Amino acid sequence: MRASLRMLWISLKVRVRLTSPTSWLFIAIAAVIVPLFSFSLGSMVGIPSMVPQDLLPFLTGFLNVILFMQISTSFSSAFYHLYLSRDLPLLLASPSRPRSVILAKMLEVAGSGVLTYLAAGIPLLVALGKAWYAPAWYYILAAAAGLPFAMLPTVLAVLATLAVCRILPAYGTKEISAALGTLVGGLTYFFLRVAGSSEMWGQARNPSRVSLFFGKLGPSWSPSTLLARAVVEGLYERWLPLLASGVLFAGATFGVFRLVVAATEKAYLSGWATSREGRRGRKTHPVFDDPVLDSAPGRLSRPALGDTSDSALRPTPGHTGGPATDCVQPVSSAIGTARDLVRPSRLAVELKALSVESKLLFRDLQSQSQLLYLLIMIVAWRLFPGGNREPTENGLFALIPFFFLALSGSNSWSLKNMSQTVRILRQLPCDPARVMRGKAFFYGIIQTGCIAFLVGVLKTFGRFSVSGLPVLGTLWTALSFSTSATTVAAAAYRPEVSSATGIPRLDLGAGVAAFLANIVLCVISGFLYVGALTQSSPVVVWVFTGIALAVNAVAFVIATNMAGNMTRSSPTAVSSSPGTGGSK
Amino acid sequence: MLPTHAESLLVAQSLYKEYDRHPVVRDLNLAIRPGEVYGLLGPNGSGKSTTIRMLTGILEPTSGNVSVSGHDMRREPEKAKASLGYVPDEPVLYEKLTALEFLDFVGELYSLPKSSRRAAMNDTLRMLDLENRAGDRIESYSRGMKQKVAISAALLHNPRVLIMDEPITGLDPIAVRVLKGMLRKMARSGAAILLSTHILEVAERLCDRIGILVDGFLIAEGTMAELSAKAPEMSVGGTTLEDIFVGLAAGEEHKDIIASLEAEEKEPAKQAGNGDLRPTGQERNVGT
Ligand SMILES: Nc1ncnc2c1ncn2[C@@H]1O[C@H](COP(=O)(O)OP(=O)(O)OP(=O)(O)O)[C@@H](O)[C@H]1O
Ligand SMILES: [Mg+2]
Repeated sequence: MRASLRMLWISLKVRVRLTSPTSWLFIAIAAVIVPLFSFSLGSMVGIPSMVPQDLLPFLTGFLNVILFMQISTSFSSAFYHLYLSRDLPLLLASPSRPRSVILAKMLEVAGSGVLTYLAAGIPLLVALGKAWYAPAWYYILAAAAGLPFAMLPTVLAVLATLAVCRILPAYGTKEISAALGTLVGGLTYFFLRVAGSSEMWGQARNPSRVSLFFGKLGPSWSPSTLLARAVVEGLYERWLPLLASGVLFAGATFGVFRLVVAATEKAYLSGWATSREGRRGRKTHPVFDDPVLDSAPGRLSRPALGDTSDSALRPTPGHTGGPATDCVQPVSSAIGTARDLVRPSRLAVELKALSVESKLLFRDLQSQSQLLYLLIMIVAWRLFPGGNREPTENGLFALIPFFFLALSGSNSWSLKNMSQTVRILRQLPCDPARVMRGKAFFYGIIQTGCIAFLVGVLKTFGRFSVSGLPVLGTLWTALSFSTSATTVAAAAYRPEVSSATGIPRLDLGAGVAAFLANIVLCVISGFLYVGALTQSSPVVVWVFTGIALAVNAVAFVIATNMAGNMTRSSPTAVSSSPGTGGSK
Repeated sequence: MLPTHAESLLVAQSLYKEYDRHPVVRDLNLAIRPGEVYGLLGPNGSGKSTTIRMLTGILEPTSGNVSVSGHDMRREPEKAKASLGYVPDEPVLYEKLTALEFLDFVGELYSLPKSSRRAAMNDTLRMLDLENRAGDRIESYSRGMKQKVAISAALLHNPRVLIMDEPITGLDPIAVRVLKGMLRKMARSGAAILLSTHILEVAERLCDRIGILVDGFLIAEGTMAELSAKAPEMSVGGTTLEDIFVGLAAGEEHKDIIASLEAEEKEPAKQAGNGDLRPTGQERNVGT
């Protein structure tokens, strides 16, 4: 117990240390924006005018949605934390109880759930408190409920991960993450199917009705129902019921958590569990590519970067166009891609970066299961389209992808390999901004795909029709690319930042900055869209759209150039160990 | 074999491991006695790290048993691990902590009492010449300094069995010398030490017994004398450990490559007309 608390304390400490002074500034800005958001949210969902008997189902529904968000994020993070984190060799080789290792890992998973609760749940609870003139302790209790509330998703995710890893012990990590992705996909599908099958979408204009519906989903003993009850009792200052439901809520969640820690201890450590320690991928058949060729003297004897002085490799400011500017000479043959990058074609570097990025993404375990999860949903929707399709018009529909794009600043896919990218880029005689453009382009494509998917889902279930879909589609696509670029730039700022266990993370300040930039872009594009809608002449409509396109294109270029400059300037990018370089 | 098991501190019996149905370590038997330093050699990818991970209980063997200080790794993992120190092939450190904080944490994991923890930390850090940087964060360390922290962490609880995977990677000559001395001293006081390395000079000077692992098989094992008795069969000539190693571990193609490269080296005049190959020859000169 002490050891696992200690592990938790260390990861907290590490997290605080990771935060630079500029980051604290952005956190402060966010701290101002979140309350503002909760006030506007409060009036948006019509809290002040809500009748008391609607309050409980509404809250339950809202908390159910958060619960679901927590479940889907903890599924992918549980596998990562339990089996792939970098400190496992240290922890498992030590004589500490397996229980403390799994406890520490479970608390790490729960940590991300707590963040979701803080970001999505607290604003609403604060808004409620304001409307009901709640006393100060209401806010304290509401914040404290975050930890127990995150326990159930954690438990579910850990149980599923352990189960999958026990069932598929002989198979590789690919199958494991595929199975996990399938599970989350199935769960989401079930959730949305149930949601989509009812008449609720007809009343989508009244968000509290939507939540009312979600409120019917959970059984009365679910943590969201219990917490919602406690909140309502708190708002009405009914002490005894508050105490009862509060104790029930905290007791039940902690009890289940404790039980699972005790029960899974053996399952975690035995059998397949620890074998994922080595993170290397491996071909199933050993491939002996002509050993003679591989070890030919010409290859063996090249000095690995030895004679390439730093200045020769640094990209010079003049390198921005024309065929000769690509790369100077294949000085470093140690990096295989260097030679490939020396194609005279104008977009060669960008395209190569794009293809490398796609390989890195598709071979990464966590993103594999995330992508798979999307794929399964698409297939499921193709196979079982639900709802009837009487189109109703709704302006909200257009906004959903905008929200999605604004949030994509926290999307971490581009982060995974950023520190390696930066280290390699500094050795190459190329303009790093070009590689960053390739990256941003790749994630732009992925995001456009996600939006198309989202729109498809909403059209199937929501029976919405949208005016001006071509215009909207163009805007969404443009936004996909510009917001990907801001995310790449955020990742390039301090790319070495990672969690205590070696999982790369966005620098908090840079993440918030990207988020704000994305909001600005979305707001500008959204205004232009609304402006375009009010025009009758198609020419003017497309002029408006063109302006929005130009804004996003400029943002794309600026962001990728910034990302390129950051790879040059960030002094800490080279801090992690550059390979072992054995002798002989 | 069996009689020695009783007195051995580290025993592996029929250790077998496969990844994706592909065997990586095959039927490995080891027994290391108190006071013995055992060197595990082998080409890249031959299964040294995999073996070591199984010995330390990080990796579950597909079949076979490990016991440390008489405790079976499967049945009594905590007791087995308590007497074990492990230096992984890549240092596993929390980069945002200082060396002192990290070692303090490791001490906690091994349940060292606070008082002796401090003393042990200062001791190992002083010996490895890390004392005056111990308050800095590990992220600011060089590769070798990180390695020193990893070694300090393994030595902290004065383990009876010490397992090190390429421990001298990145260390400066002084630190290597100090480490050798520390290991010999630990061995004299009855510890069993297993280390893998590619530096044959270290293996030759430091190890009482050497095992050579090729493709998951332990193809040769013994003292230097026993191994060099074996060498002539392998037809590489010479009796240095390097000759023995190359003779035993290299495939036929590589023996041919080595032979032809060394032949070129002896006849530099022949290469004079050939501009392309000349730098190669020079490189080899520098290398060997
Ligand atoms: N997690 C893993 N999944 C699949 N195969 C693996 C994994 N880890 C190691 N291997 C394979 O096992 C074999 C042995 O690897 P190991 O790391 O034990 O070699 P090694 O002897 O330590 O090599 P080196 O001298 O380079 O450190 C290699 O062929 C490697 O590809
Ligand atoms: Mg190794």
